[in-house]
Amino acid sequence: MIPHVLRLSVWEWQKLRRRMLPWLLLAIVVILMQVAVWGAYAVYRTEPFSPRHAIGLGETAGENGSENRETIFEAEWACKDVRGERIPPGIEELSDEHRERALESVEEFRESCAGYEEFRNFTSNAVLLPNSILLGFDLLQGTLFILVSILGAAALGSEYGWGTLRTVLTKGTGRWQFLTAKLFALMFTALVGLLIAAATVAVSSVLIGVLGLEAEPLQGSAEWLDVPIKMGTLLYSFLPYVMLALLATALTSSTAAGITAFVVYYLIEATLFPPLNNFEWFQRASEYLLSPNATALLSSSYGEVSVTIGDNGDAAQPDVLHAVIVLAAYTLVFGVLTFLLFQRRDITGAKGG
Amino acid sequence: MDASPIIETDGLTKNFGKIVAVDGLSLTVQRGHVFGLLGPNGSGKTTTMGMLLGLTRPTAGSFRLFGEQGNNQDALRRVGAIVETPTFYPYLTGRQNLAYFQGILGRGTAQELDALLDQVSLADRADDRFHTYSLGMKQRLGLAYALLGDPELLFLDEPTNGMDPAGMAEMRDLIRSLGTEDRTVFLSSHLLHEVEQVCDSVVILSKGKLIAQGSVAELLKGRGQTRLQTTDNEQAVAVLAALDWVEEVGVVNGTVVVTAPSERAAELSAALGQADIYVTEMSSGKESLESYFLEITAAEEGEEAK
Repeated sequence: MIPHVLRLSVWEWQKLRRRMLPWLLLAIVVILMQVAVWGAYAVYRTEPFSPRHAIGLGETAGENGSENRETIFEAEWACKDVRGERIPPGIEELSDEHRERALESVEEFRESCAGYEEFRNFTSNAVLLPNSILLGFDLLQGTLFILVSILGAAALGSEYGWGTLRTVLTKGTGRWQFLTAKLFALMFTALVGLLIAAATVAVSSVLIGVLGLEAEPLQGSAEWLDVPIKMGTLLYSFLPYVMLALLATALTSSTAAGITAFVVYYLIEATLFPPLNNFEWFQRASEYLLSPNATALLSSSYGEVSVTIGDNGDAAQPDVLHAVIVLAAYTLVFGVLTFLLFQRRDITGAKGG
Repeated sequence: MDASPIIETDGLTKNFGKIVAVDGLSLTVQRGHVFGLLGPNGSGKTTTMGMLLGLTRPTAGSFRLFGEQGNNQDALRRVGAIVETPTFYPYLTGRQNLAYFQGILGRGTAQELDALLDQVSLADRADDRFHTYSLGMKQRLGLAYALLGDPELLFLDEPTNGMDPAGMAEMRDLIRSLGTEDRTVFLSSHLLHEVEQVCDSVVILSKGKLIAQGSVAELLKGRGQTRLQTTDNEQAVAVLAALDWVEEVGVVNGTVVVTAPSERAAELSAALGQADIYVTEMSSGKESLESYFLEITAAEEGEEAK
């Protein structure tokens, strides 16, 4: 039985890789990850978010009861000027008193640049390997859930739409074996997609290094071992979402309806539940929702460059073990329902689309 | 050769809500035959095949394939099937589709695949994508798919659907050649001429019920039409209608047409002679499966209407 399922999985993968959809979804992932890494690099280089400080000194002169303010020194200062220990041009020509006031103003600004410098260090570290790969996966977390679910719904829904389910099952392929093989093929495809996306980000990071990035890895930054751990946790987090998409598709026998059902559920979790977390009575319940646990698991996998995606209101993030168990429970429940439904329902001809 | 039936059903029933698609169907199919499943649209042919192939769950009753109870995957791996219009992956070529099914079946070689494509006359278009195929080509690919793994039992549901006359004749010959000692063909069709030509035995379904079963020869045995020219056709009709073994009699285009067992044709002549009516011309013809089918299904529907 196991060799049969493995053989089916290999052929499901062969079938899936010849479709345009997985490549299209992969292109979306690669583009978004490239945008993340090159975006971080652009932010690092051009510093568009740097605080700016205007230094202005003036004197008030009164004559015949009227007052006129005369500007004697004006300069705009950015954090990069502070970092470069530059002195505002023209300051030497000022009187001692005015020069002192101007330098005091620069010192005050230096303090407000400290927060920005932390952010800048983050962006420079974000484009270093292997941080760039992890950052890309973190930023795309929600998108990846949606894309992998679309792939899952399409992989099963197309079989209903084309009527090929009947052709497959009449050749002695058991239903649960077929669904298991489909799941294996989907997860393998997701893994291949993550590897390709990671490889393209790695190439970009190397290229950025060649272009010249004055950055040192932050203490506590990610290590290479974090990459397979992140991929593993991502794949594990995909499972309940893929099973949910398969369940919705098996329920409706249609790709479009399957994707719609999944997206509706996902959006409800993402938009409707977070505000409810402001109520104490809901906070315990939210610990058992899918998204907070997936987020908790993924943000736990490495240190300082991690970013938490999604607003979870005031609710505390579930711990890792809790998240692992909850995701396993969702996978199991969705999986059992999908297999039961798929096992028991009559298979009809092509439904189109 | 194993003498046990290859298919046995016992009270097989399928309801879709309040609609009874198949109603207590019990039939037996022996090995090495071409077996025809006939019936008008909606009579339950495809549903019956669906149940035997594990696509549809029976509401009641049971069945055996190769002596194995119910849907057994090992049994299904000895089966090939086309159900309704063959469906394949549109983005794959014909050859890739067959290679996929050969792959999941776990047996067969590329050479066998080429031979199958040749057998169904699809070798020239084997490397074109399935979505570019005509209906006839899809049927040919469907037959090649059904023959993958050299199955012992073939289910063919309307296999000539969409084919041109030459293709239909070719397919008929192919089906006939497939029903050998080693292989059984379970053929569903509403093209009765086709079934009459290729099937050894048939089952006729109407509204999900079995209304006739047997070999084509058995079903048509003794059923024939006799055409008579007499000295008084109107009187002849009255005389013959009084005979209880005459099923139907009437005048068509100036000829008396009698539906009665063909072996009793001489008795028709004698009965008319006793009434001083003389037969001037007489011819007998065998009834076709088509006319038998139309008659028996119409009668069944009439019974239902009552």
